[in-house]
Parts: sequence; structure tokens; C-alpha cells
Amino acid sequence: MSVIRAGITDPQKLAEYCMAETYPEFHKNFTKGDLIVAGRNFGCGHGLHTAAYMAFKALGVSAVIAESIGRDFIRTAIDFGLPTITCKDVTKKVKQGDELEVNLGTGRIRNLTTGEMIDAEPLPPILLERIEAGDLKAFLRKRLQTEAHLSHKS
Amino acid sequence: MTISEKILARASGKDRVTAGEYVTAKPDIAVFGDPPFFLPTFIRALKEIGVEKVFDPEKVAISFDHFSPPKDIPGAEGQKTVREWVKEQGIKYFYDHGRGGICHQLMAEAGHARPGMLYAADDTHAITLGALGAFAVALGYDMISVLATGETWFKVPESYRINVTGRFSKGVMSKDLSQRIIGDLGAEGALYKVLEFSGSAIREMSIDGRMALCNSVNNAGAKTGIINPDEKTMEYMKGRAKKTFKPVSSDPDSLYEKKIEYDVSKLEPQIAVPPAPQNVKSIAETESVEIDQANLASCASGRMEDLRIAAKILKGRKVHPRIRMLVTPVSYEVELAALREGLIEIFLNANAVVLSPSCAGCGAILGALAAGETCIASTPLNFPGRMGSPKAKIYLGSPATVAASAVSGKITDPRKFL
Repeated sequence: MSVIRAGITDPQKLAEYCMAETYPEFHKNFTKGDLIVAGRNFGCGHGLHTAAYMAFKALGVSAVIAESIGRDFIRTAIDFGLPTITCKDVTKKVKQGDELEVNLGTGRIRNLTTGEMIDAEPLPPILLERIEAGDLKAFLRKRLQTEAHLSHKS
Repeated sequence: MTISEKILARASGKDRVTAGEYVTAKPDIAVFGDPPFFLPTFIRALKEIGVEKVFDPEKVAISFDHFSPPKDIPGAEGQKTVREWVKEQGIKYFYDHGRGGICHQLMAEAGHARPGMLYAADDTHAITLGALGAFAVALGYDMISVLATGETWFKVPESYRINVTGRFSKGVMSKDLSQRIIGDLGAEGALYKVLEFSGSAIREMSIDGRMALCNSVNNAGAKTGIINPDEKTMEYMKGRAKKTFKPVSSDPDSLYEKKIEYDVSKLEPQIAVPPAPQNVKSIAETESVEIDQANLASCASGRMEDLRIAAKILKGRKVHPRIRMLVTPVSYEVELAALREGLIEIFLNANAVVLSPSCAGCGAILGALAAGETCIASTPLNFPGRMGSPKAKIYLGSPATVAASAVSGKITDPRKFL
């Protein structure tokens, strides 16, 4: 809340606040490309403020895999190009530091450290195409260009 | 199909949809308030993408409600940007300061929320409008999709049927029921579900009460709340609806993931104890907590029903000398009616501060709390920092509870005054 009130918009500054209430040193231990694996109700609370997603992007979070995720978080995260997947019991199958290979379209997760295969809920095509475009703006830009191109042709 | 499924089916051009299915649907309206990370950001994004004209200016409605009037230069600049854009786009449903009030109330009064609609807005508490039988959702940043293309993705949610029977006892309000349900479900008890309210107590409930009930269901993780339209809904819509509408209702053989029963006959006033709105206890457990401020505010309250009961308690009494009370009528229509009914005079005589219709009293835009202070509020949220200092404590209660507590200077059962 104080971050929003202060009107902080510099992504690098926001990255320092990532997960700050639960893990104050989070941004220091995080490497660009790392994933967040979490338990229940990740992203609960007031999920529509955009500062959080800017922070995740600035930090380089490549995906969030959680046992359950708040609905506001899912929608806004996807719009910021951050894939979110729901995976039952994932915290029992993944430990901090494990290396994961994630297929968003099939939901298949391979824990390269333990060798275990985990089945998560796949991202449906309707959301996958948004992630694949990069983020919402890129997705819409591409779509509108395609439509303009088609209407020119006809 | 349930009412929610019927609305999503129609809006996505399908004969039927099932829970769990992903669809692309066209909202019937796109509604915006004025938080700076919403509309001004969206306007910038549209320019970046190269969208010159919004999908349909007839389907856009905007109200300045968080910062009404703006409290600083960035706020004023943001609103100026929106005003210019509204003119450029030819958006006619634009409600500037003094012409509306809190978005989620105004849109009902102005006839932009109608039974059977797919109602999309930026702000979380758009779900309030489910009270009128609309499928009302908060899309935040994704409203850019709607502005640019007129549509976006939806996952058809499962529905919980919450059947409410019995009669509220005097001094117990729908906000108490709302809090009890949230307390029972917990923060993710209804994750991604629709709470569909039904039953005799709902049928008997005023529109004001229904809106208070639907307002905060997201605190249980729900996507939205909804009430099948009935005579009360149609009565409310008379003379208001901006466009013709086709109400729909749940079929008798609709499938619900859960059915939950509530009997309000024995329901007592409920208090959400900090630090979370799901931490709900009966008033008996929290009475005599001393307070510094009482807020009757936000889209969760401040309606005529709320102002009337607060005025009944405050009439001939004063706000406790040690504390402050803030009263916010939810809209200008309500404020005017309250003025004519002599309610505003009662508040002023009681030494309450009457704020202009806006979100100010909910998120410390006005009325911030200092470290160590305690507030009781009829608002939806009480997490640390919501009303100023993260070291302040916020308890949530009904408008009646807030008024009673304002008189005693501590959390008080309103039934003592009624």
C-alpha cells in the first residue's frame, strides 16, 4: 500500500519490494529467469494494483506455479506476460533451488533435480496466445495489425 | 444454466456454456473510476498500441470517484488527461465531480447496470452491481482489451448457491450477513466462484442491502456475487435504465458446486477484526475495543438505508468527545435525499464530518489514521495500511455498528440504541 501511495513507478525500485512482507531479502536471492513456486491462494488480496506485476517483471520472474491463485492475479499477471499455473501439491514436489522445466501448453513440469514429472493445469490456448505474444500490449498490437491487414485485403 | 452461465453464453455468442470453459465475451458496458493506475495508464497503452478509437464510445461510462475532487497535482493531471480523452473519443457517459458519486452506486442510479448484462469495470468492487442481476466483473488492467477490441477472455466460474432465510433482527444488517459469510468461507473458500444469493431473506432485502451483500464477496476469493432479478429489481430499474434490457434468471435445474444455507433470524452484528476482512467475530467478542475514528463510508455502505439507521442512532446524541466520525453518502442522489430527509442535519449536530460522495473514507484518501489509532468502518477492506499508518487497526462493521460505536467511543452493539 505504501508503495502505491508513494507513487513509485521505477521498475528496479519496485523489484526491491517484491514479496517484501513475507521475504524481505527476496530480490537479493532471486536470479532473472527463476520461478516462484507457492502454496495456496497466491496473489490473494487487492490484486488489481499494477505495481506488483511491474515488480515481478523487473525481477525477471519467469512463471508462478502455485497450488491456487487469486483470480485478479491470474488475469493481470497474464497481461504483464507472467504465466501463472495452478498445480496441486506442488510445494510437496518442489524444493527451493530445484530446477524445473515447464511446458505451459501441456502443464507438464519436469523437476530436473529430482527427476519427478508433475502434472499442472495447462494454460488454455486463449491465454497461451497472450503469453506467447509477450504481454497484452504486444498481443493487441499484433491482433489489430492482422485485422487491419485482413480488412485491407477484402 | 445459472444466471451467470446464461449471461456469459449470450455475451460470447453461444447457446450454452459450462463451468470451467474458457470463452471470449463482449461486455455490454466498460466502466471506469479514476485510480491513476487505471484509466490514465490505459489511455497511454491504447496510444502505444495504435488504437485511435475505442471499441464503442456508447458502451463506456466513467466517474471520478476515488479523488473527487483531486488532492494533488498528479491527480489533477490524470483527470485532465481523462477529460481530454473523453472529448476526443466522443464518450458521453462521463460523470465529473459533483455529477455522480462512487462509481459502483452511480452506475446503478444512472441505469448503466441492468439485469442480464455482462458488466465489466476496472475496480474490484464493481461486483456490487451483481445485486441488480448483472454479471459484474472487475478486470483491472485487462480493461485495455475491452477498450481496444470490445472483448476479452473469461473462464466460466462455478456457482455456489447461498440460500438465505429468516428475518433480520432489529439493528442487524446485510453487511453483517456479508461479513459472516466471508468469515465462514475464508480468503479462498469461494476461489473463482460466483456467489448466487437466493431465498426469502434475499427477496425481502432492499436493493441497498443487496448491494452491500454483493459488494465484498471477493474477500472470500469469489469472482462476483449475483442475485436473480425480481419485482424489487424491476421497480428499481423503472425510469433508470439507459437501454432496454432482457433479464435472465437461473433455471430450476441449474448445477451448483455447493449449496449453503443461512438463517439470519439469530444473526448478531459481525465484526471483521484486523488484520484481515476474513477474521470475523460476533460483536460480543469485540465489544469495548476503544476506537479513535468511525467511518461510515465506501461503496459497501452510505446508501439511504445505511444513513437512515445511522441517523436514528445519532439523533439527539453526539459523537463521543474522544473520537471523530466521518460520514460519506455514496452518491449525490443519496446525499440530496438525505439532506431533504434531515439526516445530514442530524450528522452535523452530532459533530460528525460529512464528506462529499467519493471513495475517500475507505482508503485514507481522506481521514488517514496515525500509528496506534483504531477505526471502525463500514468499508470492505481492513488490511494494514489501508487507512494510513500500517500500525493503525481497522475493524469492519455495519453502518449501524459504526454509528453506535461512534456514540460510545468503543465498538458497540447497535441493538443497544434501537
